[in-house]
Amino acid sequence: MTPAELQILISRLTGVAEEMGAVLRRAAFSPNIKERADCSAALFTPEGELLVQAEHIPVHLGSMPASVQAALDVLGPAIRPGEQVVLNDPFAGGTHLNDLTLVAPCFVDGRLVGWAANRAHHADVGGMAPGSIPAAATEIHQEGLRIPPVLLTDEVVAVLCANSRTPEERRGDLDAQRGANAVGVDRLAAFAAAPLDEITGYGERRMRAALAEIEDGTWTFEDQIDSCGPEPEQQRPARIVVTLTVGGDEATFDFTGTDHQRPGNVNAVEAVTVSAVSFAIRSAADPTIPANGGAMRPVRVVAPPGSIVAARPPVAVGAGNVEVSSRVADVCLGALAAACPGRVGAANQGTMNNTLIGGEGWVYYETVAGGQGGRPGRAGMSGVQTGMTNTQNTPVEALERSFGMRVRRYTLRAGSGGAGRWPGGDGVERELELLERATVSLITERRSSRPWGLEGGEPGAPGENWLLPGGDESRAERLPDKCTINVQAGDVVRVLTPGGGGYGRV
Amino acid sequence: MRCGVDTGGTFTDVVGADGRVVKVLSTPDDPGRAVREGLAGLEPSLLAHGTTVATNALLERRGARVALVANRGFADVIEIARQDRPSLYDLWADRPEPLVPRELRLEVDGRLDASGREMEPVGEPPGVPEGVEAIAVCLLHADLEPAHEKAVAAALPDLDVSCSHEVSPEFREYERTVTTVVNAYLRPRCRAYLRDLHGVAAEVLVMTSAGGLIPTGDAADLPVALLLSGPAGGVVAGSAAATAAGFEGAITFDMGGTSTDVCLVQGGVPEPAAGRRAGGFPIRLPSLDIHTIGAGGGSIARIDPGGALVVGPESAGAEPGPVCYGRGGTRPTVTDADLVLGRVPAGAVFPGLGPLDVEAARSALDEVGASAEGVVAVVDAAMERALRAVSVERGVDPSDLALVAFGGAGPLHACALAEALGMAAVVVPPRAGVLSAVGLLCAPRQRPLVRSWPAPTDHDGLEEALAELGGQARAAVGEGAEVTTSVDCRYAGQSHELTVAAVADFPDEHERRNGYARQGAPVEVVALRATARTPPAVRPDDLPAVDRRPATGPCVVAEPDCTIWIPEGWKADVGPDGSFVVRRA
Repeated sequence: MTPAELQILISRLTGVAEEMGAVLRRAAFSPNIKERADCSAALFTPEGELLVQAEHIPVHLGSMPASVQAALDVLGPAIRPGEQVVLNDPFAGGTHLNDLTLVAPCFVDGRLVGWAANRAHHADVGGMAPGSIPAAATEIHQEGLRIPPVLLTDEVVAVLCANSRTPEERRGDLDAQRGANAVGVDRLAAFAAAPLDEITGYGERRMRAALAEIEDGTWTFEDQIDSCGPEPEQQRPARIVVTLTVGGDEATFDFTGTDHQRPGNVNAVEAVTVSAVSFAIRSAADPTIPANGGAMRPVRVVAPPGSIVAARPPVAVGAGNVEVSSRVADVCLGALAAACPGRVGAANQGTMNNTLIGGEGWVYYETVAGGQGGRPGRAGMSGVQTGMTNTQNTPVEALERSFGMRVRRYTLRAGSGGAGRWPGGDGVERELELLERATVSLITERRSSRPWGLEGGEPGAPGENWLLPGGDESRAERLPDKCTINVQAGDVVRVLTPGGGGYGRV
Repeated sequence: MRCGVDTGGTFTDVVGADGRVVKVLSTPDDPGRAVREGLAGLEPSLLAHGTTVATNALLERRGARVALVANRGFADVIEIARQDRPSLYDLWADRPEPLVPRELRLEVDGRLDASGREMEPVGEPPGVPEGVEAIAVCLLHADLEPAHEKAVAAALPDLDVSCSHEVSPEFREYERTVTTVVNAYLRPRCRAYLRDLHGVAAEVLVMTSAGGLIPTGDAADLPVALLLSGPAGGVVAGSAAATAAGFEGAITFDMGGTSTDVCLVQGGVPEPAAGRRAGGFPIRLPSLDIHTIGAGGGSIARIDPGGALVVGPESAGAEPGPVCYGRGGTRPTVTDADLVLGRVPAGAVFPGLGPLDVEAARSALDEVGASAEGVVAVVDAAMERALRAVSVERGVDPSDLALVAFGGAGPLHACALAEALGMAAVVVPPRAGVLSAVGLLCAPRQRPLVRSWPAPTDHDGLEEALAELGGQARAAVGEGAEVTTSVDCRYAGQSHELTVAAVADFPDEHERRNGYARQGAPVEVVALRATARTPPAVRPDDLPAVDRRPATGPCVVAEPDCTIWIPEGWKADVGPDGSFVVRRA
């Protein structure tokens, strides 16, 4: 293939993934997908290697190949044109139960050309608290409906809807996901004769060229998850450690030494860990490397089975996707900061500040922005999504017109960014007043540990969670980093998100 | 005589109703000088103007020092934006710096609830710091109830105040805030510029992003509406050319040096949008739905470390420009590739340039290891994606559409693109090199208005409200204006809206755009729209015909302001308005 033919093939296929993403976002029902764009779309080779993606959410994209692989393993030979596979089981191709992935084969004249897949975060898939990431869960069965790779039929949709607190929204979102894959399959068929493996070969060459630029060596970095749940016995921090070895044009991220999985939901399955590694290496080595399966061939990930970065059933994993993934990215970036100085910033806020609220007939899910770490030569941005997520907020006016809540305050948290030659960005202060009785779950991190500085910069301020009963400042009580509480009309939940670490001595 | 004047990056183009074309060098330090120079001796009765003053002031950050008044606890909405970052992996890809620094974000007490009812009365407005030149006021839910914003504005009587309920009265506070702030930011500069234009013609009208003309006084109040002033002219003339050639549907394709604008036309009307990004900000104001990509004739080609040919986003711009210009450019561009391929004749003369250096272009391509065919094919693939984004992705079949090509490089690339998308024909309007100025001359006077609908599920009184809004739009344009109305609808629970002529049309439109409809599901109305327009006094086919003859490819048709490439197997006929209509023979 000539350089031009290769580029044109990539461009056209990326256009297909973008079109899938556009259909999904346009046709979806829930604010979570439409307003926040908590969804992703991609195309895969017949063997299940990622070809192209529409750039949405880092944690989705690095982990979707596992979904396609699981669909292949379970249904591969039996699947027929027009059928789609649905799954959310973290232990069979998923990440956490909210993320429903649909995988559809593309056949041309009886030959499998590739797969179209998309993933969307569904605001509620059942379980013991609205939002399906209950802070108190210790095993996956408490988190919601678990769907191994099965054909998507009306019956499966019915089961799913029956298990959700917001069935109509689920039905609408699933329609949109199905439609997005149908578009992807239709468009991918035009590439039946194209040499798709050239694309993954190209990704591999790009990653190898970038890795060859990094000096050979070994670097170790460790950090922690502050707590594994709301209970007193869950307050012991869990250690995550990575040893990065770069040799020639290959790299290994070895998590040996990371703590064993814990009772609680702060456990990540291996696919999530791989996606965090893939995020970190691309942002440090070369952000323009295409995120296809080839790019990860020279990168080895060693995640000890049964550790919090490669959890095994039946442990709960709701926060693995959002919180453990953030810390895995942090330790990888920490190691890379030593390996390629000048290309990595100080730690970002390091949590998604997951806020899940359920009232009568509605469920609201939001992740709250924070501070970006200071960067070599530039201060960190304030009030911004960093690391493994990039979802938009729900506008205050949209939120107040849709849910039984009011936003009392949504502003930057002055002075929360770590000091440094290039300071960390500030976190955010957000106060939600409930207008009716509701259940609130907070799944947050960096409430005791702090986002680290780099090259002598100071750490960012840790986050804080508060309940103001009746909105009364004088009765304010500190909430733990992970909790599920029942609140009354007039109560206010205040979340202060962490600032980013500073870069360089002041 | 009526004249259209388009200020561009390099040239200021004048087209008179008698068909005359004047091209003068732009004068970026004082853009009005080139306008006056171009109009010298014409004594225009009416000047229809496309200006870059607003766009440049925003992109170059040369606007006013603006203070923002927001609700207490919400002053940083302008910085937090929608929380997302522009690039997932690039650590250095920053959001644009907010136009209001933290020390000028002021807060006021008072609050409305989600239905616009007062929960807490509005407080005393804060003191305005020294040196502030303009103020933006944006309070929560002001799209439903403007009283609090009005009270704040009334308390700041001697200042230049833009209120969000006037600039962009729709919900979603960040977009409304940023649109209002940009308006305040642009006002002093745009007002001064427009005032200076007084006297160059008996009447001066300015083009808006929505493709209609407004008086200079209105433009000075609402300069945020001028961000697409120039490109909108090209779309207006392009859609007229498609209609004249017998195509109800088209895509306009304006490929310039650093960027390319495409816009879908349906039923002879360019697609409207509720907003568009400019300078990294979501500007929410009625606009033509122009989709821009950062590739054009000046885009630079290179081979990346993985062995793929990459074209752009780096651009050689006007300075130093492509290698073949001989002005110091050393990296090969799309224009160099077009020249090497013979699509631009080696003897072509561009205003202000000497002879083109084909050999230099060829050796620059050789040096990076790129073939000229490859560079053109890669940039065409990027264009194809843009064309698909505005057609296929919206459920519109391109096989019925014409591709209307103009701008410096559009007519060089159009046939290959029409082929790739299976489009019906390529249309190259007369005066394709100055088409924006033609569009200005031939644009309607127009005023779009929008208003939030407070009770989404309750449609009582909708017709009356639409009629009232239409009346306001008509009053702004003048008696005799035609008024069209529409509503922004969604299914209850959704959060993106579709604009339709009537609520009853919503399910079908949803089916067409999104692939399904939900029969019987409740439909919510969130906003009402009304546009009044008076038909233009001059139409493109009123202009004297240009001298064109049918041509058969492969050949190059070189015109004073534009070069057209007709590939082998294609044939160009001349339509009734003088457009080339190019089809597969």
